[in-house]
Order: sequence, then C-alpha cells, then structure tokens
Amino acid sequence: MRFLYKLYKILSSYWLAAVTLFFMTVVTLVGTLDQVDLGLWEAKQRYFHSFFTSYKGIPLPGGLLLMMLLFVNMVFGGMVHVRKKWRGLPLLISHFGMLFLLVSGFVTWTQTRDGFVAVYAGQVSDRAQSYRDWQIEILEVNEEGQATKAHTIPTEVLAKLGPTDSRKCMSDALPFSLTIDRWFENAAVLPTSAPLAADLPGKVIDGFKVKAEKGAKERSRNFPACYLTIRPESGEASEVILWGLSAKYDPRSSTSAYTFEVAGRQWALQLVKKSWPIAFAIRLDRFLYEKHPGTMTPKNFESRITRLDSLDAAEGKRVAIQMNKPMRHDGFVVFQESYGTRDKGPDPEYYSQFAVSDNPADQWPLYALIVTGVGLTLHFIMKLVGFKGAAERNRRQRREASANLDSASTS
Amino acid sequence: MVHLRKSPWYHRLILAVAVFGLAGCREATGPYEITEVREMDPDHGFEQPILGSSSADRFGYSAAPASGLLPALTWDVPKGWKEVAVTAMRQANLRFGPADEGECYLASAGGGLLANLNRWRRQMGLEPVDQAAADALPEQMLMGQPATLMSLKGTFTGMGASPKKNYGLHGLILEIDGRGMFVKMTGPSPLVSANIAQFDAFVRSLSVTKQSP
Repeated sequence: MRFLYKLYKILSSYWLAAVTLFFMTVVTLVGTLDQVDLGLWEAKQRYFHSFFTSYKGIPLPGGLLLMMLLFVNMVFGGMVHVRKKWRGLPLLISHFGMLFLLVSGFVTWTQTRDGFVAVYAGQVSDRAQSYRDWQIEILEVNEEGQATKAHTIPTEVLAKLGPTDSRKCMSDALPFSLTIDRWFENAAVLPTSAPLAADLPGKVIDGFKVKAEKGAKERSRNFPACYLTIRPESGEASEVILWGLSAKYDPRSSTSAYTFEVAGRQWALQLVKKSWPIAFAIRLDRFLYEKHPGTMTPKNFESRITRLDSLDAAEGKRVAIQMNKPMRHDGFVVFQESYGTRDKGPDPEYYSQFAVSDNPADQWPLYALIVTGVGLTLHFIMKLVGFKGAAERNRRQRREASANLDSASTS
Repeated sequence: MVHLRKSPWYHRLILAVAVFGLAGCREATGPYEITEVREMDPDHGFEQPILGSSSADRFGYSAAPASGLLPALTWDVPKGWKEVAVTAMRQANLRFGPADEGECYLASAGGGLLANLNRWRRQMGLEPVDQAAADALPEQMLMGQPATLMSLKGTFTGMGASPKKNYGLHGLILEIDGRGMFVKMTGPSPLVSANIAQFDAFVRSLSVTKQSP
C-alpha cells in the first residue's frame, strides 16, 4: 500500500506535470528540427509515436510516453486529487476537456485510416488507397480475362519481412501456395543487361534482378519488391519478381499483373498499395484550377463532384470540395489534396486527388476545446466576480477605517 | 537476483517496463493463412489489371506499352479442330482429339528463344540445352518470319497439372525484341504426330488484322 501511495503522489504531482510539459516542448522542438532530414512520417514515428527516442545520442522520452504520463497526471492531479468544492467545478470541467483532447488524440492515432482517391473527370471510385502501405493480391481471373476476386497478403505480414526473410502464405481456396523469399522495402528491378546489375547478388528471374535501394525520406515514395515462388499442389513450381512500380500511379493506367495458370485456371499476382472501400462513391464532374498570374503557383483548385451511393448509381448529391472546405459524410472527411497529370501538351487534363480520412474522433478535438473553453470561461467569471467582491469589500473596509479615523480625530 | 517482496518500488517498475517491452517483440514468421478476400467488380474497369504482361512490360523496360498480348490476328481453324474461349494469356485457343485432349494455342512470353525452349523442355521432363543446341533446331515460317521449330516427347507437366506420360509437344518460337511469340501444340504423342499437318495449316493461316483508319 505504501508503494501504491508513493506512486499516486508522484503521478498526481505538479512536479511530474512540469517535467512532462518540459520534455514535450523539447521533443516537439527536436522532432521538428529532425523532420528536415527524416521526412514527416519518419519524424512522427521516431519522436511522437514512440515511448523512448533519442536526438544526437541524447536519450529522451517519446511523445507517446509523455502523453500517457500527462493523461495519468491530469486524472490523478486534476480530477481525483483536487478538493471537490463547487468553486472548483469550472476547473474540473476544463481538466475534463483537456483529458478528452488527449483521448481524442489517442483514438485518432489508433483508429484513423488515411488514404487518397484520385480520379479524372468522368471517373468514379469508391475505394481509398494508402499512401505508404503495400499488399500482395492474388487475383482469380474468369474466362473473359477479368479479375473477379482478390486474396490478400496484408501489409501487416509484409511489414515484418526483410531482405533475408522467407514466409509461406497459403489458403484452402487456392490450389497453390506462395512463398515470399525476400522482401525489399524499397528496390529497383533491373534487367541483367544493365551495367548496375552485373555485380548484384540474388536470383535472376526472366532476365531481371532486384536491387535493394535505401528507403526514401518520404515513405510514400518507396517502391517495394519481392521474390515469390508459386508452388502448385501438383506440378512445377515457378518463380517471379513483383515490384511496386508495376502498380498504377495514374488514375487512367492499370497495374501490370503477373499472370499464370494453375489447375486449368487463370490467376494473377500484383503488388499494390493497400486499399479499402469508403461509404460512398466519388464521381469527378469538373476540376477547376487557377494559377497566380505569370507563375505556376496554384492560387486555388477545387473539385465539383457528385457523391453517389454506389458505383452504379446514376444520381447523387453535387458537392464542391475546396482547399479549405472538405466534405464530411458518413464518418469520412474528404479534403481537396492535390492534382496531377501525365499529359505533356500545352493544355493538360488534370486528375484531382482527395485525401480521405476515416477518423471516428474527427470532431472530438472541437468538442474538447468547447468543454475546456466553457470551464475556463466559468472559472474566469467566478474569479472576476470574486475579485470584484473582494475589491468592494476592501473599499468598504477602507471607507469604514477612514470614517473611524475621522470620528476619532474629531472627538 | 531481484527479490520482489524486499525490493524497492522502482525495481518493480523496471521489471514491469521490461515485461511490457518484451511483449512487444516481433513474432516468429511461420506459415500465414490468407483469410482476407474481396470481390472485384469486373464491370468497372477502374481497378482491373493488365493481364498477360511480360516481365519487361511489368518493369517498364518494354518499348511498346503493355497491351496484354499480341497484335490483333486472324486465323483459320483446321479441319477436325475446334476453337474454345481465349484466355488472358492465349490469343488463339484450339482443341482437337476424341476427348479434346490435344490443345494448340498462340501466346507470347518474355525470355526469348532459349528461355522458352528450356521452359518447354522442363515441362516435358527433359534436361535444358545450351544456345548452340537451340541454334541448331530447324526453322519454319511464322507470319513471314523464320521461327524455331521443335518436337519433344516425354512426361508433360504443366503448371498445376498432374504428370501425363507419353505426351508430345510440337511448337514454334519466334523471338521478337527479346520476347517469345509462340504456337504450341500438346497432347498424347500419337495424337500430336497425327495433327502436324493441321498445325502447319493453322500456322500458315495466321495473319495480322488490318486496322481500320
């Protein structure tokens, strides 16, 4: 019990709050400085999504640990430890608001799926794609040469593999197994005729080799590759290289899949970015793009879309999505993110890219700030009323003292 | 040795952190059971891949854009043969024999003459050969160009199929820009031998479709 009481005293102390806030300032500063070299994603992972980190060899607590300590400190110090009087109610409300803000940050961190949808005018899509997570899809192909079903080896499996790892993947629904023999987070695939390929170790498959590359500063620019062995239940095994650069990167192009036959059926393999369905379909009607005069700097760009209930729906709701005016619908937030083109002519056609966020705590920070604001406003009003009352009492006391002094001197 | 009952409180804290840390270690990579499956809508081409691409197409080393297979072709179906549905990898797909056990198809693949020749030899249970042996094979015209002709006999094992003894493979490989375009006939050996004339007739009838302007 003594140990628990000591722990409670430490966790509810002002000292812990001060130290936590000091380190949060330090970690924010060094994380921002290191972002220049590491890139945004890596800096976030290293400094803010970690329990412990270091900067130039100096060990530091990570953002996750600091947030958890601050949460615990506020629960014990700001809610449990404080005296429960009606005058303290506004501060309790504001502490609750701040705790809710930390909870919303945690829910956002653990539950949010961020991706993007890119479409040219006239195209419809109901799937969001990840910026940086990849997956292997085994496609069932029908007699008409159309992919009808995708069996997925997910990101979580691939993320645990490295250049020397091997992992067998199988399913009762497939007449073959796949073995991922080596996985490269970022790689180039070179023909053996290329001078750079001459001294490369590793297998040659169909005249190509995999060259491991250093990870890009922005993980979304990594193109993974792997060696795969396809082992049918009976018959000859075959080997193949899959590369992320075979995946489509323009909304009009298609992924070039590796196609093969097993048990008299067509199958295909593709290494593509992870994707997931969103609650509606987006049809781009028009993309508007405006530049600052005489420059290539965009002044404004916006998309006129029709939000459809499904890919096949003919009618839907027309919405304009602008740079600072996202569309919120059915738990998803759709932001105007960027645009692009593969046209090289003087008047290129642009595709519009939307950032799609599926965050159950999307509006929670707003609610938390409102609660905190209400608490602090009540607190300040009560302080102001108290101050005015005290000032009035002081004036009255001074007047009375002065009157007493006058009467004493008269007498 | 740390005795918990007598140890100061910070020993317990360190132990708890260590246990928590170990729990987060990477798990071993045993076989993975694929469970995630999704339906793809064939009517919406937005996420349909290009099938039948060669490695050069998939890795961006092909001069021509990846289009799937070969240029549009026409052909005559030889007497006694029948045409079946094409697939992503077979532009022409023919069957013959009493129980349709013989097949002949037109397709393309990366790797050129030697790679395709040795792939076929492996399928027939034969040892691979070197370039000199490949160069010594006879030629036959395929759409106006000399293609390499081969006739193999052995135990045929295609991908996923059970081994078939006493099978024959009669085929032509035409190497174009490092890729192999081929006509391949397989079936029971006597049946293949009896259909060489039909095979030649099919090859002679192949021609490129004239594109309308």
